[in-house]
Amino acid sequence: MTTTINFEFRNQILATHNGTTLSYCYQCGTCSGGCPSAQVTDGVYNPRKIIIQSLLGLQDKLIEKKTPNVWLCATCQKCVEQCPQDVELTEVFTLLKNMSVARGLAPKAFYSQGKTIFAEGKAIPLQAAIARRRAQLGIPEAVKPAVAEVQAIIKFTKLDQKLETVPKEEPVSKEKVANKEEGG
Amino acid sequence: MATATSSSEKMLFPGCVIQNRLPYIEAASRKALTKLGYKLIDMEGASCCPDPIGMQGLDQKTWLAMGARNLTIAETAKKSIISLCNGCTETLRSVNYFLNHNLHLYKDVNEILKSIGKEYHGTVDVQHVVAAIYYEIGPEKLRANVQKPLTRLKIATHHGCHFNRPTHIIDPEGKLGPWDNPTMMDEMLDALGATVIDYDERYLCCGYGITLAESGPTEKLDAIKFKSLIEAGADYLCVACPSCYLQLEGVQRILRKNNVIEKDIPVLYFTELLALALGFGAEEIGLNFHAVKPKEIIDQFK
Repeated sequence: MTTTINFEFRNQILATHNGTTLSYCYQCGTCSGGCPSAQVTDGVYNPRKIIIQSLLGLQDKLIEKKTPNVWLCATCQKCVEQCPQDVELTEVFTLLKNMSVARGLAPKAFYSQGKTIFAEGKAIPLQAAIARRRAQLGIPEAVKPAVAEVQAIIKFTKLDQKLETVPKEEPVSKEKVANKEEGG
Repeated sequence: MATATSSSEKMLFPGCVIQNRLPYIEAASRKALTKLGYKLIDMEGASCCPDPIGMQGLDQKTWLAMGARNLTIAETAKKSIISLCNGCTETLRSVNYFLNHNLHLYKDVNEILKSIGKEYHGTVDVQHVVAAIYYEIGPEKLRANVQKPLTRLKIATHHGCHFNRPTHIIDPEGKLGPWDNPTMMDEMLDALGATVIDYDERYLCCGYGITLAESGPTEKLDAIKFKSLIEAGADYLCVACPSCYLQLEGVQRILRKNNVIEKDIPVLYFTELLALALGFGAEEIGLNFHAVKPKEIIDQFK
């Protein structure tokens, strides 16, 4: 298997406000040692590896092949708290996730949440049954979000166009296969 | 009755999940906060915070701009915000952190907001309801205001990762306790008369953040958590976040089916237990709407 180094990808990460701490990493592995997601995937999900691959510019592994799969991060922020070098790992992960979205490579649930927020202004829109329950509980009517303003923001950042890249099939990650083989 | 301090007039940010899916948690929060002397004002036009995992994962700048728009509502009203959700608190505090520490982002976001006639200044403070009650009322005043103590209830707590992490954003002054050991809810539940249960896995993540991608790893995490809870003798789990609530309540059906756990651990949000101790009835705050019903609590606090 060939490994492609994408310098542009690497530089893009390092140049962004949330990627500047990346180069502090000395690969001690404290992040992976404390990571709950690594714990339950037998280390297949591995934050230390995501960081070194980001630093090396291995875009195909991180974005296309999802090895390791950055979307398995629980965002519990334990690694950020424990890192002796103050690498803001989850900020780097955010950047990798944002890069995946435009390529149609994020998990489907993210695209659906984005579309719901675009249409309704809320990740979870109000339903008639809940409106009745609110009245029954004696609390005020739910605040109505300013949907037009939300849509203007999402159009401004062009996220609406990225949301249209939603994959038809859920991309299968190696972790997923590994989990199935284990029967978990 | 304990009265909150001079800044007791607050804007309430319930968040999508509580407002539109778990309104009983909003009811308990409104009732308890009002009884403690807070005056709550709705944030007209507020949208999704938006979700620090979902929307931030999609596009960080959109996430910041939408969050900043929500903050401008409170800026205009010159009021600070009480949030009922760890995720919303994280988002809104992150907006303040990122935009106040990075002039480029501040300008970018304000350029976006200009297109809808708004401007972000960074003048509004955002507190989680648990932190607000702890700072502004405190365990001792709560103790003095208990009408129906939570006697004999064995309750363990799960503050949730985003309650205080990342600490440089959520808790820069270090007031919420060590990053891996917040105990605010434990201290306040003790003051309300509960038997607070310590357990090994109290800081283990609920795993909700992974479920948007896959559910397998999360179920394994929660199996570890619930085994630890049961071993320690907890009967109830008190949470501070609606995502943790949904995850830790919902996963129990699966864990029971797979014979990982043999008993239910009803999950309660902190203000539900607070409202009960302040004298509200279980029905009044909608405890019967829980998926895993706290039957004995419902009987004890009629």
